[in-house]
Amino acid sequence: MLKEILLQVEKPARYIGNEINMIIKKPEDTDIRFAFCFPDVYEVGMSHLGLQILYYFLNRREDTYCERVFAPWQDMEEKMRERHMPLFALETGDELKKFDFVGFTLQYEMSYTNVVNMLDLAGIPIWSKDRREEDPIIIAGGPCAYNPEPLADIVDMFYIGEGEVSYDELLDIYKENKKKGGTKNDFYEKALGVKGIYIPKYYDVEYNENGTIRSFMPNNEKAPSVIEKVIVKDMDSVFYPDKQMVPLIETVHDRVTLEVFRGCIRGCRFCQAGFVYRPVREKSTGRLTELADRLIENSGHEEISLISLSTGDYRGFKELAEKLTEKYARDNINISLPSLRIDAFSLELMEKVQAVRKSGLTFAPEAGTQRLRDVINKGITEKEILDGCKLAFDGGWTRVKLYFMTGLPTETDEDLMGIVHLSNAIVDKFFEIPKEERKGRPISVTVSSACFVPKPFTPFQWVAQSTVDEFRRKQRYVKTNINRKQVKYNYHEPELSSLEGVMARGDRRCAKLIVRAWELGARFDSWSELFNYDAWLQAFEDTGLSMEFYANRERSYDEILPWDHISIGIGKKFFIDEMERAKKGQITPNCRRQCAHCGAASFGGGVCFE
Amino acid sequence: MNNNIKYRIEFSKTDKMIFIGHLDLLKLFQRTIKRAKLPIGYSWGYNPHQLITFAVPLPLGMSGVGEIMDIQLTHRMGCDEIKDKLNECLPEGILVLQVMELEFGDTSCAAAVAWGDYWVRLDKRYENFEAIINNVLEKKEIYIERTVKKKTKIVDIRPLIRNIWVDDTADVTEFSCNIATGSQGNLKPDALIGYIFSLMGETPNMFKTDILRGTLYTEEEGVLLPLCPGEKFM
Repeated sequence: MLKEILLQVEKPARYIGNEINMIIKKPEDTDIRFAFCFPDVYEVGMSHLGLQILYYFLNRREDTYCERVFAPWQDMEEKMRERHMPLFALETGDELKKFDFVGFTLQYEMSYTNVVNMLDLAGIPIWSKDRREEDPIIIAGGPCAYNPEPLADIVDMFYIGEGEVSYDELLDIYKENKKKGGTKNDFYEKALGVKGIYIPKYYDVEYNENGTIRSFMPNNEKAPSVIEKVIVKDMDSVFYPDKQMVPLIETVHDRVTLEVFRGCIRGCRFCQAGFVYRPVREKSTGRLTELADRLIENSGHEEISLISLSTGDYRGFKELAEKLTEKYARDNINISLPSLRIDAFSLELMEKVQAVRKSGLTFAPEAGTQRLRDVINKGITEKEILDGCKLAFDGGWTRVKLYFMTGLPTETDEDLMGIVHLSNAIVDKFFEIPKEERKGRPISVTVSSACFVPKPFTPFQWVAQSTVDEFRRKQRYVKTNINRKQVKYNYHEPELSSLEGVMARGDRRCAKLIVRAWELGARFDSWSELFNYDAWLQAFEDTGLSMEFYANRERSYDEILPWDHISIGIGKKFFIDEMERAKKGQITPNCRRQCAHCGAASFGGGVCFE
Repeated sequence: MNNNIKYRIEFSKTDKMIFIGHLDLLKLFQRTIKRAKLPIGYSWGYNPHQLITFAVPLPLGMSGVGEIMDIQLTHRMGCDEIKDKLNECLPEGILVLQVMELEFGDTSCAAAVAWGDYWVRLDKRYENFEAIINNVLEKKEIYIERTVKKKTKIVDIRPLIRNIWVDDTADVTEFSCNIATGSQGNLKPDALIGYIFSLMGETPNMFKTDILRGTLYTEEEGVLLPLCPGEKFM
């Protein structure tokens, strides 16, 4: 039956598993079955490094079999529902109900309807309270778990932090409890003692009349009042897989990935990742070159990517990149270096690393004027950008991509105009080169502007997000003022960013909204061709929730935020100070230049002790 | 001057692996060859690629038990060693059956392939199927509509059919055929099945039809010779 279905869907290899380096075990020889679910399509999920790490981390335990599950695309879902075929894991083809744990990784807010859909396709009750003893335990982690509340009534337990730290303890407790014939509740109560574990049902929320939170209290004496994130202290000794699954079809990032460090020294005030992964913890150059060799040997990939939030900030960056370039050039292996910052950027190195391919250069000024860049603490100047472009043009790069955000706090039309001016200045820089000395194709500048979404655990967590109409006006304003034919302007859909704004700072009541939107057909919301805004608008109406309350409302510093019971090691006071500095346009130096005493030093490692 | 040594590889593509297409299969072999550390030759030029040639792509959804590819190595290796190293690194569903060293100047498999055996298992039993096939084989010419690159042409497919055998013993209708395969002339089994069903006044259910490609042949003076003759492990 599966074959007959697979012949009728797009990219059937999404559903067959069987990749190189896939782990094969006999489920009956293990004690714990863990279904690692990525709530998006196969090609996206398989490009995700966290999946590759946790897959091998969990499978290194003999008693555990971790398998993978992805969201079936629309065509497959249709066939599965027609035939009442339950959602299955790729390794064994077994349905999810047979598993002990069904774990979701929450990488972006707009995948929440897929979480609901996958549970439903698996025949597992959507609401945590409706699940019975024999249903799997639903656990979730990843960056969006730092505000777990919108999924708190759906997910049974959240894992706050990096997977390598507490999973062994958690699984040991589970196994022991299962052997003793303990119930799920027995397990949950024991799990309350595991660092980084948050179990929503042991906490009660009360609301004020104006809709804000009045109190958030544990209802079980073993439940900690604050759940602290767990992070790896020493990146060299922590487990890292020496192989990666090699998909049989092309994925979004079709290469092996080497994680260079975690965290970011920069402290851009809009960036959640920059705060929740603090402090910066690096791997040594020696460990990285050793891993690179093994990864390439075990995968046969033709490209290796050095990833982190800002790879140019790696202290051994030059040494590492040169070592790898020298080593791999003769084997026709490319090295890709995403997220290089223009100020840390060495063109000479790029020239070497990218060897033949002169692809476009990407800069992320994020804001159009120096004033606004100071507000968001994006420590980059117009001069740095223009100097970088000059060097790039001299080297033959002529395609420049610029990333901006609109709707940033304190933004005015002057700042929007700055986007136009900066783009024009780059074009002018190109034409300063005498005609006969210009290399490559004619200059092209692509400007992309995203809509700013305030995120929890950032200094901007209290600010009001622009409304859909405001975003539209801002985009039109930039668009009509762009007057050079070399500059192309792209912008994100504000409707999607507004919903993301709701989910990012949502509370427990938002689960109704997610489930209602799903009932009305919302799935794969981050895919523009499937995004169904009307379903969401209807869901707001049906549930009585307001987009404005969650997205477009400014919070006061003393309001209880839905994520206040989660701690990332950085206190509210630091974020308030940062917000106040932002209002005054004061920048905060990066971690290496001067410690800002954010609190991350309490983890006892990384950049705080370099 | 190219001093590479050429090898012909016969392999099967079955089970789950029928769901990956030709370009993905190429990528899979490229990576497998790297993992197996075979001294593969690379093309010269701006974007060097491994010297691998397939006889003829196998359509997605079809199984193959006599698929052929040629590779070039920079150093000589034993045929069994190549086979074992590849099989160690290949996923389940792709299996190298045999490897043979080619002589200098041998035609590449893509240029040589001319005919292929196919085995077809239909979705159910069709009465009088053998009579219909006999009728097909008796025809001197068979004109059907074929769409190539969005252009529809009327072509005679009779010269592209060497033989069809019906197996009437099973509870669903099965048949095998030997039909033109490759760049010199090609008849898709789907097209043949479509034509046969049009004679019966029915539409085939291709999602429930199993097709397996067997041996691929070259033709020399009217005689068919397997592209990779010899004992293969099955």
